[in-house]
Amino acid sequence: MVLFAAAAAVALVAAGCGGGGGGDSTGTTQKSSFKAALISDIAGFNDNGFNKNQLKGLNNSASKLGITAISKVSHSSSDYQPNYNAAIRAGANLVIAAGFLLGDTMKKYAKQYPKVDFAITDDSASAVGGLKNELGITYATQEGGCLVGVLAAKQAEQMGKKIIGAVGGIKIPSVDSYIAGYQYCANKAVPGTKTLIQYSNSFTDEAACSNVAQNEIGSGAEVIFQIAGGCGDGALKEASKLGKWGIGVDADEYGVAKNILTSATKKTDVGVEHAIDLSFHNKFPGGTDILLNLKNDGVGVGTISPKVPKAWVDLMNNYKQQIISGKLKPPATLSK
Amino acid sequence: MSEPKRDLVESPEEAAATGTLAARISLSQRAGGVAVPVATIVLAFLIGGLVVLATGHNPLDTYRDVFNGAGLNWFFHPTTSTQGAAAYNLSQTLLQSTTLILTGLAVAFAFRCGMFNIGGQGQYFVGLVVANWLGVSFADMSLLPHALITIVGATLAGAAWAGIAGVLKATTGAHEVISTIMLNWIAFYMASWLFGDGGPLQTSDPTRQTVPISNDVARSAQLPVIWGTHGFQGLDIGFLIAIAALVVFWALINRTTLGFEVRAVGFNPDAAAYGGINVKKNLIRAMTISGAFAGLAGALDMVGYLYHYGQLDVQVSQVGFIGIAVALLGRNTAVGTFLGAVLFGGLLYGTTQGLSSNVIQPELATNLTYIIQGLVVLFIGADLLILYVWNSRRRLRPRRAARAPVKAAA
Repeated sequence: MVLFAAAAAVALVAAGCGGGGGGDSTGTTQKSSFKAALISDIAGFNDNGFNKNQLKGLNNSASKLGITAISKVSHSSSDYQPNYNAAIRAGANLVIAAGFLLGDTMKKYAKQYPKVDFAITDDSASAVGGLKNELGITYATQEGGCLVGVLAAKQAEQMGKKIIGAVGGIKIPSVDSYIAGYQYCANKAVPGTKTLIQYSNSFTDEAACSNVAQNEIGSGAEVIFQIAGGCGDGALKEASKLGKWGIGVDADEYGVAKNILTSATKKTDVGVEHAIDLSFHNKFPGGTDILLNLKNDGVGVGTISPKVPKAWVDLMNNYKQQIISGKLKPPATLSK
Repeated sequence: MSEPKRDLVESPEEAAATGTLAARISLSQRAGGVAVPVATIVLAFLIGGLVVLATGHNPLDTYRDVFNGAGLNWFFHPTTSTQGAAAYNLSQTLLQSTTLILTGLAVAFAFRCGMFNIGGQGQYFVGLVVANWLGVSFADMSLLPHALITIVGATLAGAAWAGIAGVLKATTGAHEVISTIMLNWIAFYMASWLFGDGGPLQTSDPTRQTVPISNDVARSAQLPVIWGTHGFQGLDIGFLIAIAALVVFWALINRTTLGFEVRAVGFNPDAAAYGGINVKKNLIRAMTISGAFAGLAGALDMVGYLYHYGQLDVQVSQVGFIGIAVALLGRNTAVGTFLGAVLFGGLLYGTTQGLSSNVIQPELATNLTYIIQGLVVLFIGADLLILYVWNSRRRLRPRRAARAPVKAAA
């Protein structure tokens, strides 16, 4: 009897262990059965900034939460729908659009698949239909633009002419918000500072941005702020070549050319991770937007050149505090 | 035994070869049969495979992914669970091929008249723009007339755009390569401005005032879908229209006086003029018809499945240029253009979808897409080299030795 009981007990324990182990593994499979998909815009994942950072965010989340990451690259706008289709076929619980260009497609699929969460970088949920399964991931890039504008204005003043330049890729909201903040705070830090604004009509062609930078420098610009992705690197190189200063965008572009004052950064990876966290923990705030700004470190400035005097950095930090406290509100759109 | 016969057919054309680039390419393209384009493709895929191998991936697996990504596995097991995905992918491949058939024909037709139409991209943009404008306007019309007006209008606009290059060539002798390239840039910036912020065709949606994308064409201008779901990029009847265009191309070239004249001018303008053919008229005519094909491509994309277009889409569109590769690979014939378009459609879509898996890193997948496509294009250029080797092998035959000095003198 005793032996029998002992055997039964062992069996029970074994069963318990098995059960426990099984429970754990179901727990993990439940976690890892979550799938998050990211669909690039037409720039693809090789753009050294905007899309690439979001892919980094997706992969970070995948390793942190143990979820499956699905990444789909688009080469033209006719790839958007097939990529959404493939992501949903693969069983994605959350599909993230890497930019506002995908808005129309996301709107359609969000309506068609109400049980799947959809998020979009650089656009608000209301712009894509405002459905309960939609989330906008927005960035207050005008705040970062403001901070680099302060340094640009000071640098231009020191170099003699109160003229600074902005080289935009294409006139779209996410480009103009940077420029609006830049122009506003430059003029505030050094009254009378003039901002030259031109667009290269490209996000990829370095030569196009180099031409625009040359043009602006010819008109007296001392500092060039690029808001044109890979194309803009051409503007930074051109500025250094002509003995002027450049300011990078989105990623920390300190190493791109010799004279880089700093960069206005936009942490698109953080936004993606944030959206995945919310969907994963069933706290998806559908129909609303999350805003990444200076306060929550979603936007900011990159490495600052050691040649920048401490007084200017202090002034910039002063602006930063004012923005965080809400005293200063740089505009997000250019006045027409 | 077939050897002497082929020589007989070829000789007058060889003798008629003129100095123009397009005429020479077109001539050498007609030689060699299907062996050369097939060898071209095989070579491109072999070298592409070596590149894939160098990146540390299995080329066979990669090509299988591309094959499946293009939906071609649908033919082999249409009953398994991947049927839905495979069928969808195949419909997308055909959708991409539709555009390339037409941009390919745009290049092929001009080639047959001895002209190199590099302007397919610009003519495509003009077609897109006009189709968007007509498709957004007249929203109250019923389906058939609205779709018809939109397609015909855009086709005529593409024809007129290419016609400018034809007229310039006929009246002033301006080379069509230069003028079509310049017209491409004009169309590019025009489309960029029209769809851009503040442009006349930019969206009128009050919540998207600063977004550089056009309005959707009205429901009445959107073509019916034959495979897939309407509004979700299903395969539309535009594919059938493209097939019809292939038949029209074949009939025009081979069964009409117009086609005969166009080909005669393509072989040798001087001889054609001597034979009583109006060369100038045919140059304009060939260019105009070329542009009509490209304009139709833009129209069908707009009313078939895109419905709208954006300033940034203008930046990345390459369909007109891929059309050149399609036409060259297809030997400027209707059947060849169809096969070339399906190959490139499959490559474009298959590499994007098939390689976008987690096996190959997404950053690398994009580059592999470009590498494989680039190699095919490169070897299409190289097929002239293959032809050279092919022909010199024949030239070495003793029986042809007697003719060699005559050719050298020519």
